[in-house]
Amino acid sequence: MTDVAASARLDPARRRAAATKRTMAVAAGVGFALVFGLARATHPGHASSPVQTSNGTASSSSSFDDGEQFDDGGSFSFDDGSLGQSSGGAQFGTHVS
Amino acid sequence: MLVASTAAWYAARAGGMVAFALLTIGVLLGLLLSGRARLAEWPRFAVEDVHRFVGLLAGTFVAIHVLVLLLQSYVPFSVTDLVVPFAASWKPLPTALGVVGMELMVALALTNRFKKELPFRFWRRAHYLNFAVWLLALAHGIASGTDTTSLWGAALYAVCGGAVAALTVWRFAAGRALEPWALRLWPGTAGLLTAEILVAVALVR
Repeated sequence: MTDVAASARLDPARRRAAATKRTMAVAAGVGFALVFGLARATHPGHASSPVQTSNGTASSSSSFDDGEQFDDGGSFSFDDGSLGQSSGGAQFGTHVS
Repeated sequence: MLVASTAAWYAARAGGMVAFALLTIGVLLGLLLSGRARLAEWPRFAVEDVHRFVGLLAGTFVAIHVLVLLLQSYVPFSVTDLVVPFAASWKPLPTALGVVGMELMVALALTNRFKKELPFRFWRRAHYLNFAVWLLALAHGIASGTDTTSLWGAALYAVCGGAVAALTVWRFAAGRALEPWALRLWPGTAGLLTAEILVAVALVR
């Protein structure tokens, strides 16, 4: 009888934990899709607005295509791994200057 | 088989960011547990259950991050690059931080798997290394992440870092005889300062 009473007391907490776990799994999936979308939207190859170059002129970023091996905002380099600027726009500007 | 599309590169990045967010939630729940926080309607076993699940979920997204990095060819990585620190030619130090963090995470997952067979003191001390995993993941993300300098990337690191700093200070303050206002002030200050520092570091990187 004591076990039954204890179980009845703990059941709501178990259900709450199970619901939280389900919510977290779904939220992680949604978060993955969201970050994927944000990464795509802010990627130089997909930016809808023109990329500002260092000399002040605006150039379209549509020249970048999927699958093309280009410098992803300066993060793809075979240098010494220094923590350089990786902003797409700024790095692109460095290349054209 | 290599995936040449940039979509795979985005997926690898998304996997890493979500894994870091989940790792942060796991650390926060661990701090609540070790600080013996009393949460209404949340008995300890229920928080432990969610804590374990979040750890598994974080591991799953780390696996997604690593597997997609291996399969994509946008920024090519070999198996050696992803398991041997400093083997990768792409940002060797930041990549090495991620590799070491991932391997430490696997080792800690093994101590969790064999928790009953291990002395409790050993397991508990080893479990604190999850902080190191989180710090390595934070440094790896900020230093190598393509999205660090974006507003949303910096915000993610600031929120996660601020929350962990605040709860860590609370964890150590909770055991001391402090006034209630001090128990709110110090964690809040630590959280805000950490968040500001991380935003500055991320944006000037």
